[in-house]
Amino acid sequence: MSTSTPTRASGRGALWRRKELVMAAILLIVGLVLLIGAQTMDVLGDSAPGPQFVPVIVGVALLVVAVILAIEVLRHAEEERVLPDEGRDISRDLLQDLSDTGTAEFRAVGVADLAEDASPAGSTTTAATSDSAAEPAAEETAKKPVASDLRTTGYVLASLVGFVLILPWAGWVLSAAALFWCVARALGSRRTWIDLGVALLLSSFIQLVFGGLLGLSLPVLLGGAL
Amino acid sequence: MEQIPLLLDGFASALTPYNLLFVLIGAVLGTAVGVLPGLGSSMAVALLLPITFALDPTAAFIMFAGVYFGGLFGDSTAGILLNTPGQSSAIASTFEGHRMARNGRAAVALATAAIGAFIGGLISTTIVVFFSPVLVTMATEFGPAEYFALAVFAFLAISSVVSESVLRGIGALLLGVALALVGIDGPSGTERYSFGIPNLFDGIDIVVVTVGLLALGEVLHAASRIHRDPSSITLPTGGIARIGKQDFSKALPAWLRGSAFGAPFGMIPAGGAEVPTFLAYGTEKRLADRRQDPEFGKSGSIKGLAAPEAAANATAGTALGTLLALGLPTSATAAILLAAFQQYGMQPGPLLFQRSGELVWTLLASLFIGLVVLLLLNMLLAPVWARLLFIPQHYLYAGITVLAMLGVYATSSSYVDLYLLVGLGVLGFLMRRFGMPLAPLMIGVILGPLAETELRRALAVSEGDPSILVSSPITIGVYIVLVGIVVVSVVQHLRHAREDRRQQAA
Repeated sequence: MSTSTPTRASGRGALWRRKELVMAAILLIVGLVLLIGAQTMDVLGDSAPGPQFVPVIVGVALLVVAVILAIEVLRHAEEERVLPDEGRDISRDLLQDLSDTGTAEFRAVGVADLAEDASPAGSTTTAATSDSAAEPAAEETAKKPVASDLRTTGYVLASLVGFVLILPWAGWVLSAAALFWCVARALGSRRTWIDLGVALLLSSFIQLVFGGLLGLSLPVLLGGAL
Repeated sequence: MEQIPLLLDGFASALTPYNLLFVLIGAVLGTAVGVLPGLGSSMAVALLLPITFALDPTAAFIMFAGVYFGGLFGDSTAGILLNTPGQSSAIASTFEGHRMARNGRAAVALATAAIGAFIGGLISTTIVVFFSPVLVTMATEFGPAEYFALAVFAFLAISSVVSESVLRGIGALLLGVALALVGIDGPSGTERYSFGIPNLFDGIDIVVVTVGLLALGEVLHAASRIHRDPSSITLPTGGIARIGKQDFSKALPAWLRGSAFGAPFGMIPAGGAEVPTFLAYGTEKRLADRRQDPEFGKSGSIKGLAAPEAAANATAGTALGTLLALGLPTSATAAILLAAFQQYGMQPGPLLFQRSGELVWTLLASLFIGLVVLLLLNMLLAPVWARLLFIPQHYLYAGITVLAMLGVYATSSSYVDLYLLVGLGVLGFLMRRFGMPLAPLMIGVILGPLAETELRRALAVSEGDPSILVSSPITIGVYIVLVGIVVVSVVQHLRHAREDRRQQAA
């Protein structure tokens, strides 16, 4: 958070714009775990190549990819680089060539995924490395780091962890209802009591169908001590 | 033609009221999950897997037959009415499909999609019935080096050729292979990366990976955007899906062309139905240009919708054949089915047809029955499915979260798996956020164990001499095709990069 860029009203720092380093760090850590684990492995049998063979190859490859990715991220901050469409795994270049379609065609699909309302930070249009003039500025801002609503994400994540923590003693019906209620509320539902009803109905229904009809064991309140 | 009596036996055991009930349940659940935005057929199979544990294997696989195709029938509905395809294989059919719906032809579009899915599924399942014995014979020629070559082909095809960024694709692939290393190593019995946690000795369940990355990752991703994005408008269906004689004869050649594109791709481990659906769409577009079709790209062409829809289902059908005959999963859905087979103590591959022949033929027969049921369900009940699109998003995602937790807990009854699930959900969110593709990771998890086992087996046979990996005509052929594809893709990336720069300068 050392310097703020003139192009952004929100004043995000240089490091903030290189958040993708998180991904490089994950690759690095997984690579190191693989390599250290291969060294300290308690190898059984004398097969050759042994169980460390592939982990070492994958570990080294992960370190290489992590370093190259880190260099790329450091050299190009997020705003200067067009991120691939989020959640879309397939190369757009490939698909355009196969189907003879233009970029505008892809823009038209999935408005809800890509479009962005004019949030304050979104209104700054940076020098986009867009590949077509027709590309709406709003879509460009959707790729921006500021677009992520980390508070809502954090709330949902906390609900997930909370659910796993209380499930063993609160039992399925109560914890699942709580999870449903929390997630629905985080995502913008404001009808507290109706939500509660829907949540309890759903979790009880699942308990009946799975526990009753299909005979799967779901945790019950206080391990069934009551 | 020994297949026909075997298939008839399969029909005989599938056509009991009890089994038909499970086809119906599977078809309804599969379509429902497929219609819901953001959920595809792999999620349908993953979330419904625990339900089948309480059933006998035959009923379970009959239900899977309905779920498997049902997800594909459903996912174009969201694309046509809402302009948001359920999964990436439905993007190509959304282009023209949504245009038709906007011009008041939603009922025709839904019918075209449903019949297209039916025809694609029918043709590819027929191919599976008649060609699976050929595949089985072929599979007996395959040694460790050949299987390893196929796995390498799948790895590189999905991570470098098909992905937007080669570096991120390979990174995702390696993460997937790393996840698959957890657990007891089969050949030596060595404990690897399980950190002494007994739950991890068997490795990380494919259901946990799929549900975590795809479902929870999607929920967290939606949470990061839901207060920022405008909601889109759902178009009315205009009654039950129906199609006139004139439209039908217009769409028929496109359905057949689409199936022809889709069927071969299901057998190649190159990552699902995106490539064939776009190939089919592109062909229709070029044909329309030549005939100067006024509808294409304007009011919506029925052919532009029919071809990709048939291609998607044709790919799914033959992918199942490859799984049954070779034991090689070519998509995430196929990988979960593989896990389901293993759960019942069966190993897909050349021996499956001998050891569990009765079940396999019942499964194939149920696929045909499932297709008919799905066609009826989707034609007659189109307005009902469309109602699912009106579920408020917060309820939808809350429901997905609860079902994800249920699916994983019911599979293993383990709290460790639930923590893993949440962790993988966070990983899925981060990858979506930073544009790292998920498909290579899934392929890494799915084929990683196979690649490792076959590589080590090959090297053990040759006593460490790596030349065994390229010593047979099959392996050399696979690698030559792979090199060709990689060269084409590098040229393609460079050309597009240059065009982008030129446009920017202009």
